[in-house]
Amino acid sequence: MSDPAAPILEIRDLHVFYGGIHALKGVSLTVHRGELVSLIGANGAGKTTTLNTIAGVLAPKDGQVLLEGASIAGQPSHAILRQGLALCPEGRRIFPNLTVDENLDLGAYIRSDPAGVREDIAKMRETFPILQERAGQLAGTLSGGEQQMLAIARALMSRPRLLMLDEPSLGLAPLLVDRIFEILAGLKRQGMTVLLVEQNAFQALGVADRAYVLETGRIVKTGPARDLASDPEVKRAYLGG
Amino acid sequence: MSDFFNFLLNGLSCGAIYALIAVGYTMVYGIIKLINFAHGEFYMFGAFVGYAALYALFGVHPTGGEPGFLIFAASLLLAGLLTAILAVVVERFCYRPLRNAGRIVALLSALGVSLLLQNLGQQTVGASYRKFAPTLTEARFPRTEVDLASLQPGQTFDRTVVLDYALRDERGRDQQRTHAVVLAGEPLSAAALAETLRLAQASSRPAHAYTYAAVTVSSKQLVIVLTLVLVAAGLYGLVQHTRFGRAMRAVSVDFRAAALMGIDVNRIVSGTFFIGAFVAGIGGFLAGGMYYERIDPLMGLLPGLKAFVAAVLGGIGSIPGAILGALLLGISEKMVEAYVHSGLRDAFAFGILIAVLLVRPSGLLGRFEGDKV
Ligand SMILES: Nc1ncnc2c1ncn2[C@@H]1O[C@H](COP(=O)(O)OP(=O)(O)OP(=O)(O)O)[C@@H](O)[C@H]1O
Ligand SMILES: [Mg+2]
Repeated sequence: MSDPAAPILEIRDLHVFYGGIHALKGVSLTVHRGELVSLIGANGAGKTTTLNTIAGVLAPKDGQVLLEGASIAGQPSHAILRQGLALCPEGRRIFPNLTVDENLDLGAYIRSDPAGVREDIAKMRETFPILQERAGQLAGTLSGGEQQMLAIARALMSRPRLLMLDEPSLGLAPLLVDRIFEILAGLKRQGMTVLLVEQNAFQALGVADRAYVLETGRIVKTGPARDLASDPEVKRAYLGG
Repeated sequence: MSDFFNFLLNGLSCGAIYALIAVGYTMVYGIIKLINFAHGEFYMFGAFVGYAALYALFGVHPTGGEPGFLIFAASLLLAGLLTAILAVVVERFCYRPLRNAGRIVALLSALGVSLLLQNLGQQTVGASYRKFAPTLTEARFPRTEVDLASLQPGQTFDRTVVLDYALRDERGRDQQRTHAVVLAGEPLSAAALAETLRLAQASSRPAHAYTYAAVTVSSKQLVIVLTLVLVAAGLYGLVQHTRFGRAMRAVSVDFRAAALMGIDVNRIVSGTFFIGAFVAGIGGFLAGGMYYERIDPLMGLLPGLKAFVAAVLGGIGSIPGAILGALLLGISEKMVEAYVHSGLRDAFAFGILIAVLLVRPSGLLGRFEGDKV
C-alpha cells in the first residue's frame, strides 16, 4: 500500500534483459517529492531502459519499483500512468496523424474533468505559445523543437505526480536546448517532481538537485548535482574535460 | 442509356454491401496491422443470427410474410450485436496471444479462424443454401400510380402497368404478389382487365397499379445504401470526434506511446473489432438475408475477399478509402458483367487487386508503409 512518508519513487536492484542482453545490472535510485533528479550516462548505458521499466514499457526480471512504497513493477504502462507517473519518451513520440490539440487531449485521456483539462490546455498554450498558434495543425507537421514542446506539454496534461523525461534536448538547436532547460527549471519552481535523463550532462547537472551516473547498466556515482559537476571523473567523462 | 443507370444503381448497392464488410477489414488493419481473413465469416454469422432471430426468436414463418419494422430492426440489431461479441472473443483468444509473434503467424491464425467458422457452420446448420423469406415489401421507385377504376378495355400505355397485391397465408400474414396488367404499347384486353380487377378485389390489403420510370431503384437497395450512409457518418463522428476515436487513431500509429497516455490498448483493439464486426453482421443480415434472400455457411467467402480487394483499392487502413474502393469495385463489377462478360466479374475484381498492388500499393487514399504482411 502507498505510504506518504516514503519517497515518491524508489527503485531497488533492478535487472532488465533484452533476450540474452543484460541491460540493467542492479540499478537503484530514489526520487523525493519536489526534487529534480538527473540520470546521466553515455550512449547505451541503460538510461532509456531504466525509464521504460519504471513506466511499465518493459518488465524487470528482478528488483523492485516502488511508487510511494507500493510496488508497481510489471504493471502495464496505462495502469502506471493512472498512478501519477508520466513518461515523455525518447524521440518525442507525438501522434503525427492527430492535431496538436488532439495530442494534448490524449495527454489528458485518463482525466474526467473537462473543465480542468480546458484550463490546463490554456496553461500549456501560455507556457508554449507555439501550441496556441498550431492548435489545429497535424502534429507531424511541427518542427523537431515544436514536437518536443508538444511532447512535454502532453505528458504534463495528465497532471502527473512524477514526470520522467527521456532526452528532451536531443537533436535540438542550442537556443532550443536552453529553452527546454528553462522550462524544466520552471517546472521545478512550481514544485513538480522530475526524473530527467540527459546526455547533455552540463545542463542536466545545472538544473538538477541530485544526479546519478549510469555506466553499462550500473549506477557508478550519485550525489548532489553540484558535487558531481565538479567531480574530476565526471568532468572528464561527461563534461568534456 | 437507362440500362446504364440501372446497372450503375445495381453496382452501387452491390458496392455498398462490400463497403459494409470493407470498413471492418480496414479498421482492424489500421489498428493492429492484421488482415483479418475471418471478417467475411463475421458477415456470414450475422446473416445466420438474423435468420435465427426472425424464425426462432420472433416466430416469423419461413415461407414469408414481412415481419414488420420492429421485428426487422430487432433482428438486425441482434445480428450486429452477436457478431460483434463473436469478433471480440475471436480477437481475445486467437489474435491477442499472437500479437508479438509476427504478422505471418497472426495471418495464419486468421485464415484458421475463417476456415473454422465455415466448417462449424457447415457442421451445425448444414452446407446447403437456405431460403431467407422476404423481410421487406419489394417496391421500385420512382413510380406513378394508375387509377384502377379508370382502366378501360383497349386502352394503351407507354409503360408497362403492374398490379401490386397481396394474399393472406394460413398464418395470417400478407404475402406480396405482382401481376403484369398490360405491356407498354399494347392494348388492354377486356379479359386482362377483368382478371386485374378480380385480383385487386381478392387482395388482402389495398392493391395498387403502377407504371415505373425507366431507371428505378428498389426499396432494398435504398435500405442498403441508406445503411451505408448512416454507418459512414457514424464512423466518421466516432473516429474524429470521440475520445474512443482519438485513442483509436493514437493506437493505430504508435500503440506504445498510446499506452503511455493511459490508453488501455487491448480495450481499444477489442472495441475496434466490436465495431467492425457489428457493421459486418448487419451487412450480412441486410445483404444475404434481405437483399439476396439466401444464406449458407460459405456466403462470406467471396464478399469477404471482394471487400479485402476494396480495402486495398481504397488504401488499407483508411475508412473513407474502404468505402470509396468498395463502391468503385461494385460499380465496375456490374459494368463488366453487363458490357463485357458476366463470367469475368470475379476475375476482374482480383485483377484489380493485382493491379493496385503493382501500381499503387498505397491505394487511392492510403499511405504506404511497406512490409504489410
Ligand atoms: N530493443 C532492444 N533490444 C536489444 N537490446 C537493446 C534494446 N534496446 C536497448 N538495448 C540495449 O540495451 C542497452 C541500453 O540501452 P538504452 O537504450 O537503455 O541506452 P541509453 O542509455 O538510453 O542510450 P542512448 O543515450 O543512446 O539513448 C544498450 O546496450 C542497447 O544496445
Ligand atoms: Mg536512450
